Amino acid sequence: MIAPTYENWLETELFENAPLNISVIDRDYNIVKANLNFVTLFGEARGRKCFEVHMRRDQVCESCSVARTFADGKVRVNEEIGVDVSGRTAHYLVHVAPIRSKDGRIDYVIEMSTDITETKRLKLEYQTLFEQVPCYVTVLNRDLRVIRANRRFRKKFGEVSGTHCYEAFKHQIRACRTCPAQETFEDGQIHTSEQVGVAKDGETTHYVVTTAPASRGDAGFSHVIEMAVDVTALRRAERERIDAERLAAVGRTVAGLAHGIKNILTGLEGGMYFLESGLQGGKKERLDEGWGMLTRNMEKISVLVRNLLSFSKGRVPRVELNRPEELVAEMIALYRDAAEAEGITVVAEVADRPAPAPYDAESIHTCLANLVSNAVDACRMGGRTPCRVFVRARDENGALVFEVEDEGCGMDQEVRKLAFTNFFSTKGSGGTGLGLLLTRKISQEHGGRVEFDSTPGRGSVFRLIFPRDRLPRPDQDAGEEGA
Amino acid sequence: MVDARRILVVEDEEDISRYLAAALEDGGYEVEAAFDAVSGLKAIEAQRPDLVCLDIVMPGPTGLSLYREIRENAELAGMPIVVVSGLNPADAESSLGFGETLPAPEAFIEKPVDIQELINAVRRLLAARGK
Repeated sequence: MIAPTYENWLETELFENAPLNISVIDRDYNIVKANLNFVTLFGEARGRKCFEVHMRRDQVCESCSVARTFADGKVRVNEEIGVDVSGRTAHYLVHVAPIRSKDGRIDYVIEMSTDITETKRLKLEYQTLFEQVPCYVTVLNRDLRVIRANRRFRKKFGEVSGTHCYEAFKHQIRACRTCPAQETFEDGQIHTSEQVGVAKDGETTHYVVTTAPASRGDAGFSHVIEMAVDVTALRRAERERIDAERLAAVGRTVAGLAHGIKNILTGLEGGMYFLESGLQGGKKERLDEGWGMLTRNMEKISVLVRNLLSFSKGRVPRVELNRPEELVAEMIALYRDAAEAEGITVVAEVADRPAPAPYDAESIHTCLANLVSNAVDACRMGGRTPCRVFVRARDENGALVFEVEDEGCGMDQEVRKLAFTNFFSTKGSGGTGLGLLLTRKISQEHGGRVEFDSTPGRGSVFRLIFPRDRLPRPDQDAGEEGA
Repeated sequence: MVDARRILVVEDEEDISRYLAAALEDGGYEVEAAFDAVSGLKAIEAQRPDLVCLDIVMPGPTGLSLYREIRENAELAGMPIVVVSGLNPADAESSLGFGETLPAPEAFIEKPVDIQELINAVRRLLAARGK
């Protein structure tokens, strides 16, 4: 037996063996021929009505594509629901085409159907996911235009199909400076960023957006899918928390300030008491004592006000190139003698002279003076004699570091936690509680930070760390003064 | 004045300490001063004053720790204490636990001090103890 050529196969076997359900129907809706697949699926069909076989109906379907093809001779493609021989309802993609005789008459049509139930189910699942997922989903083309948007997006931002995403999300006329969709188009990777948009009702909307390539296998991708999660409520809650903390900080500030002022007022009151009683009793020593108390407490309130002003406003920094070791020497000169009288030694340690650095010498002097003053107080409170305070300057890992170490009382965890809280002081009436806070503020203004370690009973070490690449630039006219 | 009533002022701020001491001495009392909680406790144990004027916010161990020490010591618990503080009395109640975790002080004088109020409180407390 000679194997058939494919032409023979097409002529003799295509009808029977094609992977489709094929039937031929006459003008009276009778099935005159059906292939093997069709018979397997719907049972013996020849001589029966198509609507009866496909749909288990006893009359013609309302919208019958067979009838319409007989009427206009056009090929049709429809999705239809059918019921097979086992009673299973399924979705079919149905092609109907006329079979013309030589004189052009249509006595029959051919109907070919494929089961698309699974495809339909997947499509429905995808559609449900796309529409119902609790975030804003859009599909963008390379022009950053919205090709599709899910229901949640449309509800929030309006019907925006065809508009640019930046217009839809933000009412902008240009693409965003940081555009994750653009980045995904460039490198094919997933990108995420937080953005602020404007909803259709004008409400500011914070959202975290993730973009991914909408891949089509080896053909690469021409679209990006963008999913945005609304974090507006989260941001609002954060802002409210920060506001509440600020308010609490203001409360603590006022309470701390009131406490400090009350102490100074009591000192002033004491001075007046001594003056009055001295005047009444003619006691000169009381007059002297009272005058001294008034003078000291006036000075205290001046210091408090100066610190408050420094903290709240600051001064215009004057950035010049300075030698760090000179600042260390200034600290020694400032504190050595007074500390020595109490058995406290203030020592400079500058082994390798650090390179000159641009900073506002007066501000950094304030910071270092605060740290050395604290260190001396810590020694005093620790009660250990002799007690040493080391003042150091060095270059370390690209940063200029000032370090003040003491062998004083150290700080327990509670005090460490409160170290940078305004008006917190371990010095009772002796401190304003602003020193470390001001030190940190000035350090941050110079691109730096304050770090510290402390062990109760053994001492503390505070470091001012200024990465050199973040130090401010020297003022243009900084070197001209006195020239 | 062999039988003068003795008062200990525990206050870290020297000017305030001298002021309170002078006013109390002018009121007829014998006054000793301590400038922190540790030396305050030593003075109390050694001298057994009739009354203590106590500041709360002090460097190192606070006046509150000394207050607690006195109240929890059976021999000292009855010693009248006048708290003299820059804290607001209402704040002190809530943040220091006076009247809740700790018995309230016999008197609370807020700074700046009304010296007559202080003297009156001291007189009343000492009179109540028959002194």
